Amino acid sequence: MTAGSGRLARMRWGVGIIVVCLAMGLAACSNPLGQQPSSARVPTGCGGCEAEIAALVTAIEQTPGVRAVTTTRRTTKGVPQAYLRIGLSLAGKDVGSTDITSVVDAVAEAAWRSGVNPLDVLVLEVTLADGYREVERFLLGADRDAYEERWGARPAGSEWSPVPDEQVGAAGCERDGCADLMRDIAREVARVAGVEAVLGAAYVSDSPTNSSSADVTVRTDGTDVADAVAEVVWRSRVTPITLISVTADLGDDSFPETTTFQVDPDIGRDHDRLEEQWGPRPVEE
Amino acid sequence: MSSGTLPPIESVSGGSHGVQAGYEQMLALAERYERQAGDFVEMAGLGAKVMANGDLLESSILSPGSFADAEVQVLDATTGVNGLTVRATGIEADALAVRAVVAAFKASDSLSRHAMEMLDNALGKLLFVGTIVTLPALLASGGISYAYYSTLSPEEQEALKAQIAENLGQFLHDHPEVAQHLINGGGGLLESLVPGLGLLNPGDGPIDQATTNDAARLLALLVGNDTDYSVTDLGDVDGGARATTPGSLEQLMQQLSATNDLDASEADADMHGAIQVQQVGEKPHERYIVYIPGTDDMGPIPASSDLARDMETNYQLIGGMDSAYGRGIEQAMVQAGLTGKDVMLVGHSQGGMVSASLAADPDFTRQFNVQHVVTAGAPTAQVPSLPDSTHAIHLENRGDAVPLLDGEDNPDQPNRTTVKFDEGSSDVADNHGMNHYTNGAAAADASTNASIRSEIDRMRDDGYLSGGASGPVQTFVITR
Repeated sequence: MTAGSGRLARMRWGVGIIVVCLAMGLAACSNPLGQQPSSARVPTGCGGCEAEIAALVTAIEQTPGVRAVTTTRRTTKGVPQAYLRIGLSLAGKDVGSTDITSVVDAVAEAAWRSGVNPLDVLVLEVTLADGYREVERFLLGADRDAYEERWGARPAGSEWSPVPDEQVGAAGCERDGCADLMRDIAREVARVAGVEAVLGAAYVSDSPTNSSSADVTVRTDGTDVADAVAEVVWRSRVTPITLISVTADLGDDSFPETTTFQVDPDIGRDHDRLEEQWGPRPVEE
Repeated sequence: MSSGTLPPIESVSGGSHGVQAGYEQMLALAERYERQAGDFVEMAGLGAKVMANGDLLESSILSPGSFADAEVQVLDATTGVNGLTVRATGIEADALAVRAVVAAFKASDSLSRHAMEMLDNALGKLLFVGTIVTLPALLASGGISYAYYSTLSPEEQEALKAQIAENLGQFLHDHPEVAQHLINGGGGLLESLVPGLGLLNPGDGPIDQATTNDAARLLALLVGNDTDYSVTDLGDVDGGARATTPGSLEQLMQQLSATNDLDASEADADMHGAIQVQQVGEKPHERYIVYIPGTDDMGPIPASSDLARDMETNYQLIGGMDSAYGRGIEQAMVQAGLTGKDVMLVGHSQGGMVSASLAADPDFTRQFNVQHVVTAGAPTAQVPSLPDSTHAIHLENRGDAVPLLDGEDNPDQPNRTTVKFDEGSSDVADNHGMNHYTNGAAAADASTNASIRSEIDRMRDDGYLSGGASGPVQTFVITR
């Protein structure tokens, strides 16, 4: 069973339990009293870390390929781990011609070596000159061993927050959004006839309010590219996905047109048609 | 837009062409009848005045025959058997009859609701008694079932669990009314479980017994009933709702979905609780759309006490109580400069619940002029009435359990339209997804139903669905 279907199954049971709780009013369904906020388990460290972040921004702006740091946001309250979110404007023109991987890796390494403490999750929001946007997430705390092997230990005195169960349980794209796979999709979509620019390719995890999906946003010359773009996603290894969503922006003030394909093998009404059209997906669904 | 066909709209209730609106139109008709009858009575009085006119009386000597004839005609037309007085009485009787019919219909509705509440409450109590009586048998069969279950391979166990979930989901899709009645019996069952505690009686519903709302209130109290909140202004962020004014209900849902996707990954916990505020139109005549996503933590036991969008908030909202999320939204709107402005609240799931709740809260509406509320997949019957100046459309997908959690049908108000569509499957969790509500909204856009059209046209007239570039979109994160 995939992680996604596992989460879906948990959600099914979760909804069932809620129905039963409200139907039966079981006090046993209630919360143990006196629960501490999960953010209370985040070490104090340098707190907002203004000076450390300023130093990191200076370092990042000297990284080859980075045009500017557009935003930074530090969050340690109301969250189970310490976050740093950085907006990056890269010098590249578009996703097809820009080596985003090496730039974001260099930025992540700079953050790893910085004095920002604690730093459990690093989120980089990347934009390119043509409007392409992607989000890359580094679970530094959850994957600490792997990163230590890659970049060595963090600066002395660095602390870590406990890793939440949700991150331990999640796997594959559900865990980190599969930025590399989605970027590959973006590069391939850029070659589809009628696509003038790829504006985004993002994986959306299964949640209580939406199903997992791979969302691709393109600017077109007016050609209907929905099927061709969906085929690229279908043939990719991104999984699990319940939906493929293709948004076509005409580059004016009009609201973009979004087409969704329901591809879940059990309940997706488009699945059989697409499988007949394009063959089975290359990954277990 | 879905790649397939639009989901069918199963039913539309309430709104400008709903039953309540029909009652109000009938009462308006009765009022017109009464006015007409009053006019007739007044005109009938003119007959006597005419005949008592001095000049006319003096002239009667000149032509006594024609005077007598005129007198008979005038008195017949005013106070005669076919005269205005008699007709006025008849019209008055018609008005009374119309009022009586409306009163009878309303009494029938009320009686039916009372009866249903009593039945559901009794059903809940019966469930408790039934469970106790059959406990030995249940334990025995449970033990046998578990013994069989444990002999299965992990794959077979997963398949069995999936099969049970699917069967339950299919049942829910096929018989949503049964689930609704079962939930509505929650108050009765809880009364049986905690007799004498005095926590629930008397209920606040139409009957003097505990209701689903009472049960939810008790659960909220048990998990702490916390309403402390924190609001962080993130300003203009990348992602989320785009700075384009929606041109349809479907695009409104797409915007809400984009706000919902701000915390798209497990690694985006710092965006849990995000709402967005979109400025539509130019200042100083601008209005605002507030996009309010739903539950982040669906577990009956909240996994993190920092999250504002958890089950505690759900219990509070169904119980008609204040919540950290609701208070946080209000504060975020004040911070965004919306005080005194026209607003539309658009919410999915818990976001829809809190939208309806805020729109009915006089303290909230004193600060903001809530013109429209759009809810998707949200239980809203716990809000019995919205102000006349607020128009609401409630979208519900068949097979989605969440809108049933109020245990009742939505109230029938002329300014409140409930649209039920069918894009459901046996997967309960999937049925609640934003993607289905986007498709349901597209079906509503295409509908010719008068109540739906009236609501969408009003949104358009008020400028919320005007299309084109919009003002900035601000983002706020609400936590406990």
